[in-house]
Amino acid sequence: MSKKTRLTAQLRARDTSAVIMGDMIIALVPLCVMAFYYYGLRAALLTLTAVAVSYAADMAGYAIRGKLPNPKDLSSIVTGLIVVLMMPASVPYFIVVLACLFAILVMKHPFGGLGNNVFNPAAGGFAFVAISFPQSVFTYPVPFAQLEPFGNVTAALVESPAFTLKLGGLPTYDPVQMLLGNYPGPMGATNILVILTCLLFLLYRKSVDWRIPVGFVGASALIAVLFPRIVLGAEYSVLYELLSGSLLFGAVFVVTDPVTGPKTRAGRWLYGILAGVATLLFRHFGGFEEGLCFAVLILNSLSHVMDRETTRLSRYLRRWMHGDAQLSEEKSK
Amino acid sequence: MQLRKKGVPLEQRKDPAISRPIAHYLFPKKAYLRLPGDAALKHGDQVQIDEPVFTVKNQAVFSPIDAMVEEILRPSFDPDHTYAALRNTVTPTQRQVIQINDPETVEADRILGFAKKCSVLDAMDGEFLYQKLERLQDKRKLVIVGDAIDDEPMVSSRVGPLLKLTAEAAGGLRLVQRALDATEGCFAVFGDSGDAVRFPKTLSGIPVVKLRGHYPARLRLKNEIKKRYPGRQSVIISVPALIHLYRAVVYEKPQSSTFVTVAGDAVANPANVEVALGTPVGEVLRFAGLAKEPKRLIAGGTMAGYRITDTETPVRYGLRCLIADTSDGRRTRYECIGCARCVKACPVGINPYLAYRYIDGKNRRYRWLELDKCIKCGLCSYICPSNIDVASYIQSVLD
Amino acid sequence: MGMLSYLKKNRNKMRLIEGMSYRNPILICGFALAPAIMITTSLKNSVAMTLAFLVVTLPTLVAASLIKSRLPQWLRTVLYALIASVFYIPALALVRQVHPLGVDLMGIYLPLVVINSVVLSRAERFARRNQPQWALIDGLCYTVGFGFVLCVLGVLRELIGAGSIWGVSLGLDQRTPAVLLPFAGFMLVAFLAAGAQFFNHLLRKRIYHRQSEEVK
Repeated sequence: MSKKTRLTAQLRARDTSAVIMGDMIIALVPLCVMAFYYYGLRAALLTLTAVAVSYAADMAGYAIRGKLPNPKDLSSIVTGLIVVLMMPASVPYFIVVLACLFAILVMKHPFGGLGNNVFNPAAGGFAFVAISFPQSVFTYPVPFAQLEPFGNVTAALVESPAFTLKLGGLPTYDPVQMLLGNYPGPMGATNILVILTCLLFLLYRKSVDWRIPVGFVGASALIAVLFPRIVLGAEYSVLYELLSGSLLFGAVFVVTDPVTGPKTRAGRWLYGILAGVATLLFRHFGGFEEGLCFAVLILNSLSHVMDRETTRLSRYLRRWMHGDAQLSEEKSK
Repeated sequence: MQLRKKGVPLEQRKDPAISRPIAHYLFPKKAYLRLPGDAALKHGDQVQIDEPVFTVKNQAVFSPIDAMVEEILRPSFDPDHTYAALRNTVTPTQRQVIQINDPETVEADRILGFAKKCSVLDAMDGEFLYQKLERLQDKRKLVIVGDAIDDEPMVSSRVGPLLKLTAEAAGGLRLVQRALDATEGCFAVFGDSGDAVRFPKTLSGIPVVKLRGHYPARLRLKNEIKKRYPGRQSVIISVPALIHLYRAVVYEKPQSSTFVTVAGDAVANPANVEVALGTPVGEVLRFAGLAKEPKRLIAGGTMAGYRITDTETPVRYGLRCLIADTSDGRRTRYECIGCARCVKACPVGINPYLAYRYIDGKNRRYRWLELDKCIKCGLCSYICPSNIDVASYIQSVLD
Repeated sequence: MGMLSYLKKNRNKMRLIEGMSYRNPILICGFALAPAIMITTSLKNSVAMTLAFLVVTLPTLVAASLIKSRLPQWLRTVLYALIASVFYIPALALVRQVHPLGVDLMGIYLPLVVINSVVLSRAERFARRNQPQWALIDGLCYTVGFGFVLCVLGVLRELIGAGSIWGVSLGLDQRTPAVLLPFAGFMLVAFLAAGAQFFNHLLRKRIYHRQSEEVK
């Protein structure tokens, strides 16, 4: 037939982008609930502030770029939630606002908006406030302490286990309590059991690729075993390294961002493993107790390179193993 | 890594069309016949069913119905070619089918002659059957595969005729076996139908090879045949072509019809219909019964097909199905979020995400992506959560 | 393209002040980014750098317009650099006068002003083919553009980062020392560049409208 009819698929799978973002939000809500449980009303208000500011900044970003804002775009809410859940509950409000504004208006829209951003906005926002106000972002209140809902916090603030590790000491928290989240740390990153459950949920819904968290946690554990910061032994080192800071939270929500990570399978393995190694390197030698965000930002710039080189390597490997007969085999259906 | 089933599981939904007997709609009120460049017909000419009207490239083109040429026109559905609109002049009657040749005793070299005389065409690759048989005449150790693989949901235009017109399909297969002197033959079907369709192990004494796995299954056909029949070269002919070959040999009936699956929520009686070529699509739908007003009409396949907007579009060889849906099928198109589900779903391993980014950004690097490996399965568009039509982007640079 | 022809007609008039208006050396041309980012941590630094830039660039441009095209290009470029380094001596003395600690604070970026891209670019493109007075005005405009951006950056970063202006503490208790780091400099330059492009866009729109009205 001479009429050029372009082949278009007529059926669609059920999952849509809105569903993917919705799944992420569903996975983050239990963490917000746990933050509210441990830190009271202030945590909830901080979360709401972050969500509202992110959403408004996103719409403003679209308007500045001259595009029509899409009210169904929930990705900025996910960014805001991730940013705020990595902060202590005692953080001043303006820091959360600043982090969210930075994440949306500097890390996301100037690079092209949703789907085009090179760097993870949440990681960038957190990194910015971490460098600017380290004393506010890295000191944590004790769980169940009474925190003022508004204004600044006057309760006593302590260091997190990650800081103790950096000094070379042994954290004194019971591992069971650490699993449940009953120790000072970032609002959303302390509840290890809840995070693991959310990871299983996201894997079941296929919103994240399992290769990235597995590679990340595996590489971190390996480095923790090989180069422990605790003299007691390997198993304690692995335990405390993985449970302290926002490593597991980042493994589930920050590193697995589909927009900024690589797209091929082999690339994702490489990215996860390198992210684990880089995070631990930042923890050992960096200036702050937590290096996840900086490691993620560096590796984001290499995502496309990882994709490209792994496909090239696999193509050479395939050609070397099968010879050129492979090409003619694939041509005939 | 062949451990898990390759491909994407699709809900097949072939019922009820596949379990109903084949309906026949061979006496449409109107039919369109595409004319070659010169004026082969003029207004007022009479054509008779199954009589050659003109020849194109030494191959006779037969009239699908007894008709009078009502009009010579360039229709809206295909303004580049001239068509003859034929109006049916006889009332539908049951034609007497007289068996002319006995399929058991006809000689091998005459089979090719019948295939050529009756213009039997294999709709799957658009090649005339006699040309295919001529090419393979000297080869030894062949296995004839009757292709009845329908891995797209709702479409059963090959496997339906196989199940309901088994004698003709098996007869056609045996004729090809005799023409090429091949001892082995089988039917290939797609096994995971999901619906209550059970394929027997043999159909009329010919073994049935079931392809396992998910969509798209056609890729694995050659390997499966190689496994079953080692050392033999496979000859793949679609089952409707075998049926037409059987009719060409036994009744000397030229090929002037095709099998179309009519399905969808708007159709009252979904079934596989044997339709005379050139029948307007609207007539076929009315024959199948429209329970509701269809909002879209899909032809050519449910995964990699196209929309038909003009109901006067005639039925032709490649039109495997007519799906009339009440829903428009439009979904909100979001921006690409780089989730790489298309990369995971692509069966041949090109990177549709990267191809989309390059093509959309008018970057010529897509040429390095080996896009001609694309088998047009449409899975990348199917699975995209942002409802981006990735497959059409890739197709747009392949032509 | 109406705006281009309008600009072409009034080319000579607009070109002269381009350094100040639509062709800012840092924000639009991307010259001299290193000093703009690294040393603008305080207003004093910025002003000192601008003065050094002035003392080095203007005489070099005048000299370039006197040399014209008599020498081959490679020799010309070397000569510009030599002349600029000669004029660095009074520049250094001036900086020592205005901001004595600045010589150490600005590290290597102060001597690097000798071979800044502005002087080499303008010398080759403009000063060589024009009379000394126009070269002087052109160099002055570029210096004004350069200095303006540097001072804006210096004020912003000092205010937010150290809570002071010109070394005088304003008593703000909210300070963000991170703004004094280079990464904040990069980002501020990026946003200012976006603003400058927006300003150019408005200018072009206005010129285009005026031109289309003239046609009518």
